[in-house]
Amino acid sequence: MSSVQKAKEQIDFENCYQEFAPRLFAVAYRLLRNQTDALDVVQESFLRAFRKRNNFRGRAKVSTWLYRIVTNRCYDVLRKRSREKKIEYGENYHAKSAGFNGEHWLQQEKMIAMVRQEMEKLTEKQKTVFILRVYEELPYDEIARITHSRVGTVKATFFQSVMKIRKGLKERGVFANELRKDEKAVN
Amino acid sequence: MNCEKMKRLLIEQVAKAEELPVQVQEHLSRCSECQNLLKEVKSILQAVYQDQLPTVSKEYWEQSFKKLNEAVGPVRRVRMVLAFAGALIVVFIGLISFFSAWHFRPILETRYVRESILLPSEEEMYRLVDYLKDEEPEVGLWLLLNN
Repeated sequence: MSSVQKAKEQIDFENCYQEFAPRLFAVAYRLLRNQTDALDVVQESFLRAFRKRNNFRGRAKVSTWLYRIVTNRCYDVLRKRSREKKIEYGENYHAKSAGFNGEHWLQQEKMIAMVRQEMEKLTEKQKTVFILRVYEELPYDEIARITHSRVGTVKATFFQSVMKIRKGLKERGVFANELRKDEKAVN
Repeated sequence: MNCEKMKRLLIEQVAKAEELPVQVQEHLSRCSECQNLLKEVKSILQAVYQDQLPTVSKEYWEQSFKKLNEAVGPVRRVRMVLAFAGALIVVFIGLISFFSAWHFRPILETRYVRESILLPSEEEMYRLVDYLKDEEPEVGLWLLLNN
């Protein structure tokens, strides 16, 4: 490899890292809910990507390839974690017990925590699709390439994940009062 | 379009910041169930967007890139050394094959010539022996003893 080519590759690698590392961290953190694990996953994924760069055929975008590596690595960590122990995600809020009166919006912190807890109940694939769609705002076709699925499947998975979170929140009593209020307004 | 299809379309579109399609808006204007769904999904997304990430400093990313580069470097060197060693082995084997072929060429050629050209048939051999018996008795005797 010539020195010019080597330097060019070095610059590409550095640019790629600077551009994608924080975005990949965001995905990994939201999947794993642990900063150290997420940072490790990003680091390992880049190392893996660099070592396997010759396998990258350039058919997909680099970002798609990197997202795929990171999500797969996150699944490994989640599987390992589920074998070892279950992680608790803070206080288990319930709207009724947390002084939720329904007339006013919940304290945002509690709502965020409840949504987070409901997200943890999603399957790996549902969670990945939800995160990539909502946080990363990726188009469905790119998510389909990342998750090795069809676009229709990704859309259906996203729908299921939103409905599952909604159902979970309803069971916690989050939307019950809102609905009652709407029914009153209709009557 | 029925309510179930509309719900799917609504959820597909709601994550985008853009306006909802006209057909969805029309349906929403007359369907309270879908209005509630939209409201609930929006409040879920609002909570989701406010869920902040822990901050990772720029220095951390710089440091981790350096570490990554250090980890990648030795691998690259090892690969280069292995590739070079492999190339040397191939060249060495090639040279050995070439020189051995060159070295044993006369023996191989002789064997080939003896087998294919010089060896007379059995009939020719008898005629030769008969001839030599009369003309060169010593050679004829030697041939008889050695065949």
